[in-house]
Amino acid sequence: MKTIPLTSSGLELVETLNQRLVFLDGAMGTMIQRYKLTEEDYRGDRFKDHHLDLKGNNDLLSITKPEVIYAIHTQYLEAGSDIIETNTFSGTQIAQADYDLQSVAYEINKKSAELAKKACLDFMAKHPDRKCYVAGALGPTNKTCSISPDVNNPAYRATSFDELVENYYEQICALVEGGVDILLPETTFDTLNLKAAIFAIEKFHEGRAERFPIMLSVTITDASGRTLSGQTVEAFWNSVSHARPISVGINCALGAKEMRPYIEELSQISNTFISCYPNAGLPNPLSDTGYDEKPEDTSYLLKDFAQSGFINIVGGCCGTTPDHIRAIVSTLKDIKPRKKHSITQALRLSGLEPLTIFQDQNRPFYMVGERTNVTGSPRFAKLIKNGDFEAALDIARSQVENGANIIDINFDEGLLDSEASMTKFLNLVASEPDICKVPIMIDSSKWSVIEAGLKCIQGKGIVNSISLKEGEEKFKEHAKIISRYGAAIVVMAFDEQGQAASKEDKVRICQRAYRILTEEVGVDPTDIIFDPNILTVATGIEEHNSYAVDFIEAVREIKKTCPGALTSGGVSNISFSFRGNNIVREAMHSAFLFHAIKAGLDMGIVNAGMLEVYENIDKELLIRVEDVLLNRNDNATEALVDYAEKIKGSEKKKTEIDEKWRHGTLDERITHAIVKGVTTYIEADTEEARQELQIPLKVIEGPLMNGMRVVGDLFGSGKMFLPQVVKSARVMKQAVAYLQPFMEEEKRRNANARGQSVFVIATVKGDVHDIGKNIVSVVLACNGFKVIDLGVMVSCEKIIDEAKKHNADIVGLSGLITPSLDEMIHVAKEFQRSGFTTPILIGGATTSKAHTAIKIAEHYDSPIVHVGDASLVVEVCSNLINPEKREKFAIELKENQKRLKERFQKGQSDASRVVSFEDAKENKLISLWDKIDIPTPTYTGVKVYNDISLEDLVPYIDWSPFFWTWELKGTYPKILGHDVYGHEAKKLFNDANKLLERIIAEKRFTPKAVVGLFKANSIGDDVEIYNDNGSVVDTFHFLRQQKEKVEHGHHHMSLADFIAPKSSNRTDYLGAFAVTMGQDVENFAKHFEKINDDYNAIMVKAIGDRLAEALAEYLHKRVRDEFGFGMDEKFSNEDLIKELYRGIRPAPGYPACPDHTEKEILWKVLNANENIGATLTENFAMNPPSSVSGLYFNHPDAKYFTVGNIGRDQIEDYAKRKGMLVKEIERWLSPNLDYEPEC
Amino acid sequence: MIDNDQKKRAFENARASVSLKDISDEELTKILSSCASLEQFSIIFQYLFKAFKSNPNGHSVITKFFTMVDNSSYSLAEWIETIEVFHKWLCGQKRQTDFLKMIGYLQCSDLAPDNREVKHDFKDLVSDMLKTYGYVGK
Repeated sequence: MKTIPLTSSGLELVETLNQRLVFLDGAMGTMIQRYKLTEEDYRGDRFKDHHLDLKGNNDLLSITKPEVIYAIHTQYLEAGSDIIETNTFSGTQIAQADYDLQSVAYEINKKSAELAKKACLDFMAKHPDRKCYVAGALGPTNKTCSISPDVNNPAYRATSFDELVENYYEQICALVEGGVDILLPETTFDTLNLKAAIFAIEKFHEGRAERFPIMLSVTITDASGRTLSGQTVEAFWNSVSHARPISVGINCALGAKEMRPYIEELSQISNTFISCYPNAGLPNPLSDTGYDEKPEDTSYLLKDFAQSGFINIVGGCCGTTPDHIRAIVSTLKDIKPRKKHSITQALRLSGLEPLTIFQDQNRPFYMVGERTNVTGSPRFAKLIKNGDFEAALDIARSQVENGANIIDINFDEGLLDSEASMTKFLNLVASEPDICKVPIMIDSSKWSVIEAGLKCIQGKGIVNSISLKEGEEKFKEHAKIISRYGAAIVVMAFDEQGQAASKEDKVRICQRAYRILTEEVGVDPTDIIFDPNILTVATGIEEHNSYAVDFIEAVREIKKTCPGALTSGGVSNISFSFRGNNIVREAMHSAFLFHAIKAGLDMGIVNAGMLEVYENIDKELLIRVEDVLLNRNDNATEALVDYAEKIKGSEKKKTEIDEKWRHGTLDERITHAIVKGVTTYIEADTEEARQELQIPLKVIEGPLMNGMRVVGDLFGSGKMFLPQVVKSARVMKQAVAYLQPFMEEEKRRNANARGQSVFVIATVKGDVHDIGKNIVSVVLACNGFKVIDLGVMVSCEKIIDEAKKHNADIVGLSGLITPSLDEMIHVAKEFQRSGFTTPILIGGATTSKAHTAIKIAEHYDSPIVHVGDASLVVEVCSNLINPEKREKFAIELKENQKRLKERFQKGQSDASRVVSFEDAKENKLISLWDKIDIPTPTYTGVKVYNDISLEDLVPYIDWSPFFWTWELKGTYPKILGHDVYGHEAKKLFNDANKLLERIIAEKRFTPKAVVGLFKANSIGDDVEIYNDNGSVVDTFHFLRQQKEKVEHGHHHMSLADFIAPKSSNRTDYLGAFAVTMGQDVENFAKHFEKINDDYNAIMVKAIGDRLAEALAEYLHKRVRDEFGFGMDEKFSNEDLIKELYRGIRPAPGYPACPDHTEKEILWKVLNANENIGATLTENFAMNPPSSVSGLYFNHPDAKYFTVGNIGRDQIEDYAKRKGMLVKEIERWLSPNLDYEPEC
Repeated sequence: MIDNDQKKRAFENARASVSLKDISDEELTKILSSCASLEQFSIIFQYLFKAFKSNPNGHSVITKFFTMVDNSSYSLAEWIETIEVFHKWLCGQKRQTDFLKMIGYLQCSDLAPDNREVKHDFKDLVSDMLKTYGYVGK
């Protein structure tokens, strides 16, 4: 921006900064605290009747307690401060809105400035040798312009750029009127807020003869070294340097020690003075001063900064006092200030991270991604028109992933609200760090759209574009405004006569624009990017033949005659004649860029994923392409067109299959097959090994186990993941299955032949879940164990019998639901009673080391070990089998378990308090039942849904738990890009989708669902459901939270609170549902088990579970539609996973209703056995396993919660309501008891 | 046990360093009263201070924290004790994290299947979680 001279005090200050360090003041808030002001002090007389509390509104004290503020200023001046800041940190209307004092904002600022100025003048009158200044503090406000406060709505903003500009403009006017010398926007946590402040400052200076000096200061909040809005220090500086401040610096949040690396970085990259005013360390309530650092500590740390040449202006922030400033002045006053230095000329852009484009010959070429453009990309356009901004973001993301350094965003389309689309899209981009890390190019032919975009980006972006098309005045006006936003500018080679086509016209227009921008508007040359128009060649029109050459030569000339400016162009324009022929187009782009970059082209707008490597272009094609581009002969176009026809539609084929490994030794081949999961040759190789080694067990223990050991090492070191292990297991299993008949024959001939260690595993009685059990079975089978899998719902007696029969070396028990834990205790007791000494392994989602130690281990003398996941099971089993290791392992295990039990018992005495059940009921959630919206469903009663296809369910699948099943820790879709798991996750996901396609195509599963929608009312903590004639169908029983609450307003919740009480005389509704994917899942899995394909067997069950959950989600949507309120929903799958809709569907056994026995009532009212063929085991597990059930609550405030600990008073009440014995209830609710039940 | 004079001074020091907008006197008192030691108070207060500085609407941090506590199976005292354990684990790893991410981890631990059937001592539960699963947060 064209620079006007600084004010005289500004010039004086700059002169001082060149000679010595300059000292700021310290904290205002910390000093105000010392006065222990009361609410009355803050109100004063003027605000004594104000309707909100005002204590804490420190800025207001400038009006109500000016003597306090004046005194603090004076103390700092006396301590040695050269600059004092006004008491206006919260001086905007936005900030004062917290106290409903927006109307006083102007007065606060003016009065604060006057106070500070008076303090300075009074002090200087007494100390004529001192020159002091007042800096008008502009705080960041309490709203962020580039971050949404609502995690569920990333496009939402609590404030706007325009609102901030308006607020800051008012504040600046008032501060200047009050007499400030400097403007100091400080404690910036969001750069876009600061850009608004800078915009307001420029607006203030319009038409003025002098500029107030500006000091900028940013806050780095944590060890990441970034601002709250995510920018690095350098990116921040690039974004705001257009303000041409006299200093930039860092203040607040951190102490000097933590601030050091960032101040060091800023001092190296900035060409202005540097300020630093840290906190006095972190607050430390234990210290005398309330902060970590005493004055001598802070001054010592800052002395290092000064001696290292980092700083010019220094002071203190939170926790610092006049004593701190005194110490800082005394310690630092004789140290020479940092010398300002110039920085290399370059275009310095930023997103969250900086992008510097130097001028030197060896610089790389910069790509501007072009696919987020509604005119250039039909796919992007369609997504935007359909309102699918989420998918549109993926296009942006893939551009960055494919190497785009900048992304160009364009919404110029007649049917779109371009301003609104630009704003929404950029706001969404701002919430995606992997996209907004790069700078943004805002592309539009409409000025209003450009401005809308500039108001959304905190980084330094680029405007694409302006030109002289509408004349010089408009051109200058636009350039000025763009500069005020701090953006760089693309200038097209257009003037009042139209678009430049020849080299001469391109150069002439660009040179003219260069002069205007640099000499008249004051734009830095490095902020200018010329686009001399890339035009289409090979059109058949002779005049167009030289377009490419003209562009290239124009670039060469512009680079010579417009120093500092860069050049760019829309590369795909060159090849429009060959639309539909990507091979030719990519070759043209690549060859064109090759020559243009040599001429000096700095950047180009390209499809970052579709650039052929120049050296890889087919030689014949390259010659023809370059003939056209360089206009080397008259027939060039015809020759290229002919060639293009020949190669149109040809695809590159990768036909080479890597079979080199087949040339390895037998051991190498077997290891390769196992590690890579290749089954093709395993039987042949196994037979070869058997022939060589003669004894089948030696084949297993030799080459096969060698291969599995490699797998085990890779798995154990985190270089291989479970899906790969299971694929490897598939190969191993096939090899072992091949050897099985030979091993049996061997055993028949030689009874003493040593066999494998035997592992008997079962899911315990009443439980049907087995995915984890199956994974463990596979992993152990891979490691040489003979695994006897007894299946699911296995009684204790059967486990004992089979363990005896097979002479088990280890027994494994698996379970998912609460009652299974009790069953495991029972099995342990029976094993002890039966005289077993076989070690037992415990596993399953609800099991834990602690539970095993505390509840199970005491009943069994031999080792009983909890194994958390499959990767650990091999080591545990090896320790138990190995006679040299077993005893030590067992002793250590028992000791650890004893410690766990002691720790647990001690912890019980410190448990959180519960209130009485009566008090909890008193504190229930009470709704205004006469006003609350209770939607009516289109039907009541029980309905079976027969019309649901598998295709219907696919959009509702939540894939994250699928990856957790495979022990890949991450959430979908981020896990696909995970540094560690990403590659494996992608393969697994592909395999899952292939199998899912097959399941759908072959109609392998039949989704079944039953829903009951009933009239209902709550009576206390029960909910009665009625049929249409009003008679009671059944009663559901709920529990209420009893844990003592921290916050007064928080209720002791029960699900019954979400249903209208009978006394309200309103009819409410309770829904119930049960869904299943049916026995087909188990049957299909068995098909794979039969052919030893554990990988797909597990995959089928995992997909079955996902489809069951998807069915529950889909059904819930249909039920919400039946109630009417679902019809207006527009949720994406992600929104559904986040449960953004109204209503909840808790399931019995889960935290809001922990009693599994309620499932019996659910099953009864839905007649689920008959209607969908799903049953409950004796322990209330749903069978088949791929089933889900629950209740529907539609209360507008319904949310999930944890019942937590409950007292005996509630247990007794609950038992009475359910008609069950207290002992029975205590058994089912044992984890929730706040007391130890009597034995 | 913290004696009353120490408590008073700790409260005053803490009060002096954060705005009433971020945390009220009542909320600060609740936290201090739930601390078993001044060291615990110092630890949690420093996390809160940094969280206030990192959030334009500082009070939302306290609201979120208290809501998580009230929706959990544990008391405020147990949460604070567990935060101390987490902090010490981080120090051992030479790592830092921010307050909201840390209490998010605690909330997940409370809701984990491991804690459904047996209610563990909160600090031991989180300690075990850290040992078994680690902590991916920054």
